[in-house]
Amino acid sequence: MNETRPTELSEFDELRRLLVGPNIEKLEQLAEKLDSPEKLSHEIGGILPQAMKISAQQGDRLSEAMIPTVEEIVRLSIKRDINKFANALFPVIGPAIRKSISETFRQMMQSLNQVLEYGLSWQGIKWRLESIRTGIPFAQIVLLHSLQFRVEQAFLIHRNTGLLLSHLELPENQSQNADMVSSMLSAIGDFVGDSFDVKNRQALDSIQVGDFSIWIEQSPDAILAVAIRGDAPASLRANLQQALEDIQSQFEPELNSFRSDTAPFEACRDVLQPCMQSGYITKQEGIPLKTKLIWLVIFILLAYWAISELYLSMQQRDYIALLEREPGYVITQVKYNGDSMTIRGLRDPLSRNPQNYIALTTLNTDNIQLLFEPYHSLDRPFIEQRMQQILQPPQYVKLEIKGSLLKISGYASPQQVTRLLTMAPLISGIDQIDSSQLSDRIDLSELNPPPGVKLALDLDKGHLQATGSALQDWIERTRAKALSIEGIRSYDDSQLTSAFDLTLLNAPASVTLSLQNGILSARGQASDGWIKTLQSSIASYTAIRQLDTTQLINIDTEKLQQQIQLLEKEMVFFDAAASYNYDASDLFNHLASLAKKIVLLAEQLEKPVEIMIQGHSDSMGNFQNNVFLSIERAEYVAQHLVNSGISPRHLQIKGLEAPVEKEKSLAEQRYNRRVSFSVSIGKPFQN
Amino acid sequence: MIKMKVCMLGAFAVGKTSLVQQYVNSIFSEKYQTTLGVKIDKKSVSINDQTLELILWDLAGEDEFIEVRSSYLRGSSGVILVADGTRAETLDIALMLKQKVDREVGEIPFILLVNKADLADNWTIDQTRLEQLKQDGWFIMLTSAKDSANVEDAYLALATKLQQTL
Repeated sequence: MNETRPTELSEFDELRRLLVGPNIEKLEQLAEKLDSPEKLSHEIGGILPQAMKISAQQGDRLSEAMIPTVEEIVRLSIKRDINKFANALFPVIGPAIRKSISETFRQMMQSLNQVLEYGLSWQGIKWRLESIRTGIPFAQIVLLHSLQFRVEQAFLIHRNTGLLLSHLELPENQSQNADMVSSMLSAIGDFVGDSFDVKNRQALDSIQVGDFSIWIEQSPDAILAVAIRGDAPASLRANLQQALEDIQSQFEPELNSFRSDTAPFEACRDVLQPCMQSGYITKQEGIPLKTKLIWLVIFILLAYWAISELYLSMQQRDYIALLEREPGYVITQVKYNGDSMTIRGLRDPLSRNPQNYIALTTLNTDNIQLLFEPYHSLDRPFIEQRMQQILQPPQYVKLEIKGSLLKISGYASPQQVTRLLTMAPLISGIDQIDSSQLSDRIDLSELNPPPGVKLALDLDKGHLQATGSALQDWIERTRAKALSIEGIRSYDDSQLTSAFDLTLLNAPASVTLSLQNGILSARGQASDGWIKTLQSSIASYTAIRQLDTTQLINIDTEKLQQQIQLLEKEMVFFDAAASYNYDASDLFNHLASLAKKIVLLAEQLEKPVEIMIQGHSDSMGNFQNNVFLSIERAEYVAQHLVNSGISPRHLQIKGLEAPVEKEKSLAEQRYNRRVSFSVSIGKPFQN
Repeated sequence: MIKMKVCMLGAFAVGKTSLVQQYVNSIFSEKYQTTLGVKIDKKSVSINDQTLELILWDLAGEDEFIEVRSSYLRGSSGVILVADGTRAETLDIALMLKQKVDREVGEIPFILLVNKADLADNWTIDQTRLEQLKQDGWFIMLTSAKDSANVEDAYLALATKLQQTL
């Protein structure tokens, strides 16, 4: 063992302190940091961002080294709480989906535009014929002709084995033979290399057959071959080279160690995807006019269809709303089927016809099927209408609804009252009936009809009919009173005969009076004075509307006529050529008596009277003399009557007016020599 | 997905093509063999719930005028050698081709199919040679494309060997 003395030790420490003192402090500080995880983490945390930045600038080694760790972190994070990961990705996924949809839609529109553009042209017709001839869909024919180029397949081939590592192809080119194709491409490459002694690392880079070609790019471990239809631009090869370089760099270890498992190369698809390019022949900028017009027509048709559908929908809704608002309807189900619709529900038979409402719209009645089951609505108007329909109340019966109470009032016949009270409970919506104000009788006792009067009351019509006979006074009172009785709306007494007291007329015993239907008939004989009194007095009797005196004889008038007849029978005869007769004094007295009676009776009857005294002559002698003679004879008789007290104003004289025919005998001559009389009552003789 | 390149080698007219027809997926015609010297086919074999896609490179038969292209052997995982039991010299060619594979690719799984087993009367290959090869570790099967004898089993046997290398 080495032993150091204390003096030497302190010298050595001193020497060491002098030589490496500052460094020892730094080393101790460094060791302290390394020994403390917290301090070390703090230090590394300070330089880590800068270190990662520098590493990224130097290459992908750090990124590649971190890939497994990051993948594991992501896997664990998703496993632990998928929501956090979903929330973190949400801002990314949305725009990505929108972009994808937008791109898909753009491609679809482009394809559609091409179909529309070529579909109506002469070229389009030719292509359509080609489609029919070859059986290839028209859209695909258009696409093939309008394509400048299109990468249809991409093969990533392991260079050493010729095995297919990854493969992309268009959806319409689904192929099961990519493995064999890739090996054959590899064999062809080997064949060309062997056959034409190409230098190392030089190989086949393209195969051309018509408008179809295969472009081949090679890296140390892989071959990228793409199948192209059409003429691809040179830039595509640069893209292929870039993709292959990326794959070579990213998958170099896997490519070197590959023998059979292709699973690690699934990730190559993302690198290969940009190689699946296509280009279209653009004939002109923008959308062609024809295409625009077609789009415009399509838009107009769509707009018309949409507006029509909207209008139809509004009309249907309006109609349903009308029915829902209409009392007596309950809509339970509406089914739409294109332009038509089926409406189910309940309908009160008293409601208005639903077909009437269709006329308020432009809907076609054939397109509306109405399937309503009957029901009784409890709306008040329907209860009232149903009540009127079932009860059919008499004219003066009043029906009033208060809630579910039906109040019946007024007057009706017993039959009607029985019917009303039987039928009323059958009305839907009526639970109670108040008939206390309904009566089947009216008290007519206050009219106090006399025994000869019969009163018939029709309660249903409120009509009172009076028949029989009664005193006018009762008739008058009843007529004024009948309509004031409650329940009586009309009164008829036309068949009621008035019973008049005929003794009031003071008829003489020789007169019989009868009153029938207001006509007073008088029979028998009566004086002129009584008759005049009767005629003047009947106007004061309302029971007598008319006076019938056709069978009533006026005694005074009769007497006057008798005296006139007696006078007019009398004649005064004269001898030939004589104008006097001294032997006729008795006759003159008789004549004067008759004349006085006639004048007296006429004055009593207040009628003017004239007695015509006519003189006559025989045919003997000349006519003029006979006229004078006849006048003298009339004046002779008139003078006798005046002398007897007859007023000359009642007398008229008249002579011969025409020659008398020759008499055949003396008796006829003697008869012509006479004076005769005639009497006029009421009007004077015409001179 | 497990894919493996398998070369079929043999003398001219030993019946390689007949061992392929009806048993594999094929899209290329035989004229490729006369022009390119190879025809590609595919055979799927399932072993122990695993599917192996065997990409068969059916190389043109070797004779005094045609030589198998070495480049076609590159990257092979297995080899099917085919000889004609009625022509003893075809076994010599198969042995020579085996050596060529060993030189170009190294030692990889292989089987030897002695075809036309149905023509026993015309059999010329000495059985002792086959026995000797078996003792050397060769896997040999007598096949007949005419009556399908052992053809499917031959593919299965090679696939089993290939699976063991994974």
